[in-house]
Amino acid sequence: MSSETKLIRQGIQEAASALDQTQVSARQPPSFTYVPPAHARALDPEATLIEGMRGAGKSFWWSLLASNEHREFVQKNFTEARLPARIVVRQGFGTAFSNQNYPDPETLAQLVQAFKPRIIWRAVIATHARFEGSFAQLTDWPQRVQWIASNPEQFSVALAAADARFEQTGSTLLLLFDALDRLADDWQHIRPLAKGLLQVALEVRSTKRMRCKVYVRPDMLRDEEIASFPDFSKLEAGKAILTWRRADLYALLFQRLGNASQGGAPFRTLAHALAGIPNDLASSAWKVPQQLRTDEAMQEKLFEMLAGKAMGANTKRGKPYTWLVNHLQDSMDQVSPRSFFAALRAAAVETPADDLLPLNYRGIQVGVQQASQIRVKEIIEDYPWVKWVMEPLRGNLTVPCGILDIEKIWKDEQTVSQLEGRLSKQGDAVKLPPQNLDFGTSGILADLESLGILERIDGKRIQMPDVYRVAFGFGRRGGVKPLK
Amino acid sequence: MATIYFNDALRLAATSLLDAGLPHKSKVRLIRDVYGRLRFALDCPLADYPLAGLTQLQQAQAALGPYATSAEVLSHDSFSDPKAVFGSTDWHRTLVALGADEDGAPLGIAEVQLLDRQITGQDWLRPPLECGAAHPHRFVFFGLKGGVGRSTALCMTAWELAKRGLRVLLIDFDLESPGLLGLLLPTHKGAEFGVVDWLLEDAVGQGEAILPRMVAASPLSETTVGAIRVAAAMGRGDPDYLAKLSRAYADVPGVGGPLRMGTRMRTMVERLEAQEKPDVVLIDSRAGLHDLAAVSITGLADTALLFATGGAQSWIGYRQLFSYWQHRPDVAQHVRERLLIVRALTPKSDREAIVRTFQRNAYELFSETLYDELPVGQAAADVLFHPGEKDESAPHFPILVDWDARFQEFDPMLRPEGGGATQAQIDGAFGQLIERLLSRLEGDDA
Amino acid sequence: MSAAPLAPAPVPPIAYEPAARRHMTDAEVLFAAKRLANAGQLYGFVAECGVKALVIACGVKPDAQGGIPRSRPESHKDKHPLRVHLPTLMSNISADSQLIPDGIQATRYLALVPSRNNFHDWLIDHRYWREDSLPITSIHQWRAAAREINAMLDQAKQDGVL
Repeated sequence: MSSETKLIRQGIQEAASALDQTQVSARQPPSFTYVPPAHARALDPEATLIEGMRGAGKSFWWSLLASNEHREFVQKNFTEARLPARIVVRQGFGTAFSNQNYPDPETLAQLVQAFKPRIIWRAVIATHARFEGSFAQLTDWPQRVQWIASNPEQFSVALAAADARFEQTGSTLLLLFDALDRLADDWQHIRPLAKGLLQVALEVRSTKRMRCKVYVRPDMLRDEEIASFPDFSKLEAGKAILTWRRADLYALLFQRLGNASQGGAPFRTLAHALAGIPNDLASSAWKVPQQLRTDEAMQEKLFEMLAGKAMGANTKRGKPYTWLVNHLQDSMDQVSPRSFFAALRAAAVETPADDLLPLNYRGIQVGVQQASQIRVKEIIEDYPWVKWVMEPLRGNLTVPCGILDIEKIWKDEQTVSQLEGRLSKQGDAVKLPPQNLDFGTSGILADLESLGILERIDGKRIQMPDVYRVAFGFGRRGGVKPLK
Repeated sequence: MATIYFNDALRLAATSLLDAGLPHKSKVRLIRDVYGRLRFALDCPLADYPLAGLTQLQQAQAALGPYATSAEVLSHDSFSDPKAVFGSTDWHRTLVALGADEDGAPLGIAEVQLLDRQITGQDWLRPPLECGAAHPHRFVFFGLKGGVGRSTALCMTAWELAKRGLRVLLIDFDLESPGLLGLLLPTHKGAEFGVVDWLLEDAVGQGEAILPRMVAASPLSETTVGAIRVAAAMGRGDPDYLAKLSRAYADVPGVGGPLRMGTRMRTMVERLEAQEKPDVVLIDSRAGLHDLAAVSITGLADTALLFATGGAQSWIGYRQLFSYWQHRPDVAQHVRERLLIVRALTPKSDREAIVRTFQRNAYELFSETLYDELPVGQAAADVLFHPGEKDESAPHFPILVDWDARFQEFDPMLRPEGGGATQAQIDGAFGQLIERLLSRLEGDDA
Repeated sequence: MSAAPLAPAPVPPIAYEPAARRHMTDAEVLFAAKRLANAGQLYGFVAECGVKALVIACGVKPDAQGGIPRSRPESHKDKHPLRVHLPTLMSNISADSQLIPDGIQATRYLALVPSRNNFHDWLIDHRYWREDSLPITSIHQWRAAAREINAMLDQAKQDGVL
């Protein structure tokens, strides 16, 4: 049994590592893709607005859909995504810097001085829709945007013509937009561009064969200015959220583990024995059996074979299946796959080589701590201001704590004015101030809450989930104090 | 001089122990007598303690006014067997809140070694003597008040476990409100004797004879693969229950000293287990904060199910109990992992909001009293116990038992057609409880 | 010039509880030294002092000396039934439940001395007897009972009753 144990342990590491890249690449086999039920809805071209927190898979789907090989895997194996057989996918904005497909932030910064954001985005649409005629001759973005600006009626006509062409060939055009926080260097300039994009995406819905899909973080959708155009509610009503329920995370793990080059075979044997179905790798990829996608009790049993039944000598200290997810949840009860797999990989590394199980509970504990560190680093990368408001609090508080206690420290350390000072400087790190800075400390707390870092309870106190608590240096209040 | 009340006395005594000039602090302990009065107790012969320190203690003791037992500061010299006195397991590291100063600034918490002599309430602190001896899992059902459906839940649990092939032994310790007879046993099918009989007869050395005649089979188990064996509080047709009841609690002289109620109850349970060989034991505890409940929860239970409804009353009552344990940290650590909260009589309407509030309140109660404080930057690990708020296997995470009018005056013997409950109805109301108990059974030392 | 300090109030000479402990300590010394006859006597005193300490703690009002008074308040003619030695002391307690005001408390602590009737063959007059007439084989039972008495006194002391 132990050689299989070792193999499965390696398999877990393999399954977890592939998630490091937000872009799908040749290195990540298509068979590693699992589409949770909620995401199937998000893949449907009819869903224009896709909300997802950091690590939930926005960029992942943005790049997967654009990769033919991967997209075909999904079309074939996850028909609930309703991806049409003939589909053309293009990227209208994102992290991959390719001025071919879309204007980069510098270009946007220039364009926005002369043109309204909606015009700019229409130009992007027009480019990917292969507008014919004089538009097709234009070679750079300023020209294209100028054309759109100068020819408003022409735009509608050309759009209808493009739509008809797609109709004729029986295919659909899907335009993907991601990484909206990179539209500009600061919030002031991001907002109008983001808003304009959403407006245009809504416009495009009036065609038959062309659709946009915009991946957005939840905090951006809560921004009042971005959400302030008429009919935003229409977009919002049809939005899909990239949620990861506990069952989805484990299903993803099983999908990847079952297809891992190391350890996949022994794992598949276990899974099939449990689900009572025969083990055959007839096709080139293994699909996680239906029972193991949503039946939590069965998932738990399978995970028990990997990680044991208890987080200690007995189950009073928790069971790994639930403990792992509980300790990675943010204040909105969301776990990102990235965190989940970071924890699993670290757990596999930490578990001693000769352990009877692929994962032992101590390894999982260490894994969660490491994932928590990674999670905090990510949040700070995205929102540097978080670091400046949280650092003064480090080592001083136990949660739940009073809001007044936090405000007192901020006041003593002059955190808010220091933050404003930094924000007024030019420089890379300053990109995104807390959205609600105008509202002072309560605004900052609201922003932290919308990021899932903390939760305000009963109006006077703060609670913080463990995934952030440990890394930000807070204690947890308890009745039994440590011995001195 | 301000009047000194019960709560003040311990605080004052603890404060005087903080005095910098007091020698050999580790040797100075406190004994609180059955009237709540205090005396300092030196864990050494009197001659070994510096006179200056002794004088200091005498003055501090005198300052307690009516709450000093006497002028005498105790020491080894005050007892014929000081080793037994100072070595007793009833000493507990106790945390005493020191109150606040005139400005309202809190003065912190002092730690004292306290021997709390009580006529009742002692058993809330006594852990079981032998944790090692193997015995079937003992579930204790407790509620602060009656009328929360505890006995019905107990009955359903027994039935469901029996359906799963388990041999279940039920013991009714709610002597003042005997319930199992009548619920699980038609009156004419009860055993000849009851728990109260064993307590009396055992006091005069006749317990052995009673044991085989105090357990009866419940007809409920006739249709199951398992068995339900019931030791009711009283025997069938008992002509003089009250007279027995008043004598059942007396301490019984024993060879090594008096046998307290707790010890006797445990002995009875062990003897019944040896006789019946059950797979699981369900104990109906007396409701309310009373010695018998204490023995059941602290001394007997492998798992204690604490029934609560959502009102402030429940939280206030349980907070008293949990705070009592909290102030004796070694007891708190031992007890907390055995507790499970049950949200009794959960309504169907407005359910989510009610359950969410209850969950939060339960977590707050446990975390503020019984869970370990996690220092900055430390996760809960092996050593520290502080489950997350959403952790479904945590003691605070409530098991929901539904309120269902059907079960108010429930006759388990009735067939569904006659007004009894169907399997689906039982699963609906009690399913969660059964699942949780089963996983406790399975989880025994995985 | 200060006034002469008042003479301190005289401390009553009788103190049954420490006396019981003292007798026990010495009895054990004699017992270890195989001086069984006098050890036996002292065990009896342990019990007598212990019981008398208890009954006073349970409400029997001591006289000025600190001991059991000569007679009961209600009948000055008769000798106080508790102002006796063992074994009569025990039998008088058993016979008359009214003797001790807080009888329930007394019963609780006496319950800690199940061997209290071991002194049925102990006599105060043994101090006058020749050794070979003494029921010396009973010394083990007397010793056991004396130990119980001491344990009882320790309990009562902790409880604040003594």
